Amino acid sequence: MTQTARRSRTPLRTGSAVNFTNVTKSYGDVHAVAGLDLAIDRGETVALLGPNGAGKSTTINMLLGLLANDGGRIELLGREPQEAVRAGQVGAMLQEGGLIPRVTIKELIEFMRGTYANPMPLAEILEIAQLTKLADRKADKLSGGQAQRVRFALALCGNPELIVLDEPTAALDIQSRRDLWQTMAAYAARGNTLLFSTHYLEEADEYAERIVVIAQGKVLADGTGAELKKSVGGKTVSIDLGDWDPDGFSRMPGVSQVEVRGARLHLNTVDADATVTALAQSGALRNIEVTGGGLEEAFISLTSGNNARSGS
Amino acid sequence: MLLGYLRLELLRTVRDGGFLIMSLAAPVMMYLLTSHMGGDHPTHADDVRTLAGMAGFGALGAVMTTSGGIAEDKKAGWLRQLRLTPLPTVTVIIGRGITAMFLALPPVLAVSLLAGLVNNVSLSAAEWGEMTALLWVGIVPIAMLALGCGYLIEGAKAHSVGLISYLMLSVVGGLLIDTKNFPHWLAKVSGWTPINRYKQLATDLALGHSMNTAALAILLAWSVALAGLAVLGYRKGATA
Repeated sequence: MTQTARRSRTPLRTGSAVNFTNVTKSYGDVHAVAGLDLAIDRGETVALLGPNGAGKSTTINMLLGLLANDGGRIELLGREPQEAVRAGQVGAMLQEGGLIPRVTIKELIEFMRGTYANPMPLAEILEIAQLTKLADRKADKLSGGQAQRVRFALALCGNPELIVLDEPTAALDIQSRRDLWQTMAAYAARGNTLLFSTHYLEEADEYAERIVVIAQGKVLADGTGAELKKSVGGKTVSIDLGDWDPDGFSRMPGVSQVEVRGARLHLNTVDADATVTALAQSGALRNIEVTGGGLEEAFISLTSGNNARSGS
Repeated sequence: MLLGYLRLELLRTVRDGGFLIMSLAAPVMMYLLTSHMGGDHPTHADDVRTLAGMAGFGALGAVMTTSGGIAEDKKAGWLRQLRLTPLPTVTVIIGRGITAMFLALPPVLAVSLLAGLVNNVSLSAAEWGEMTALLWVGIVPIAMLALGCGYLIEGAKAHSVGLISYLMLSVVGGLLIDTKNFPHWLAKVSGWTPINRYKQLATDLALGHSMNTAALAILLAWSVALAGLAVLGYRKGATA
């Protein structure tokens, strides 16, 4: 690590931050988490991406020791989740988490700090969360973005090296979302580990070094945004077929599948550039359209469960 | 850690100005009303029983409001937030319990003051001290009941359960009508409630009688059992 941590801690940045081994959790007949394996190293910023009901919140609640797993093993920073949480090594920002009326932001943070043996200094918390000017404001008189920054500040109190955020930017406007990410990214840049769940694809793509896609309680894919897009494979190039023979297109560079729908020819390709070039050279470009290849398509394709190449 | 938590909870409570009026109105009015009714010359012991009953009625009602407050905290996610701090369960229960009991102080002191200053109930300084102390400390099992209800029951239901417990215990425990006017079977049931024994112990202290050990044992047993409920409730309720 090239990161120099000048602040309150000079942490060791090696080893595993989160380790799930074949973890299961059921509610009655519903297998919310069905054999989840997940390993996150210290210093990584990882997004947990999945549709509603994929098991994201259950996973996070087990990770924090709020929920007991039925089977498998969970380790945080080499210890039991509850131990790591109690030791202040893990900070968490939960959905709609804990802002109580009639106390100021400063009072709330001071209380939280008081519960830890080695808390982060108050001024540092306020600075990171950009709350210095709001410190004496009542915690229930805040905008959505400010409230979320207070929740982030509460997660910082124990001076944690792992921060877990459950849908941190849900219900925030774009500006507040950017502000919050700025503060979170600054904390991660100190060499800390950040794990967040989200259903915003762009957010996962933009801020996480690694995206773990889960659905039906399992890891479906795991990699960088670019890797995920690639794993699902390619784009679709479509043209007007005219009176061309569709079979001839299957030998074009990059083309993996040929399909005729009405008057249109659809070519699935792993290399859209090469395919389009070949089409142009053979004079077949008529109303060309190139689609797909976004993370969104990759995500839908992965989670819909009928893609043969999923689970890379 | 306990002091930090207690400070936070007390701050929230004191800043909610409404708590004083809410906890005082009912017992003060009821006390002034009942102590001036019934013409057949109440004895000193009757006066003390009315005093202990009405102070206890105020303490009980004030403490039971906590269950609704905790249910709101749960809904706001505050309990999960607490669970993610190093605060041990017992510390949370003690801190929240003392905060609940703090609410019982104004009605106990107000009814005692009215008794001494307006109704001319005459006790020695020691008797005053011991009685009010017991009226405060003895509310522990009810504070634990309020915590348990708040942690275990959701939202508005916790408010209703708190209110129903308050009314049931006031009546069956003999706070509003003394148990000596109860039918035999009801007086027997009443003897097993913590509230009845709480009133009995406070009355005995004020009248200079010795402590009734059965009463003390029943009150302690309820305290332990309901503290267990509160601990269980926090462990269960703060995760969901």
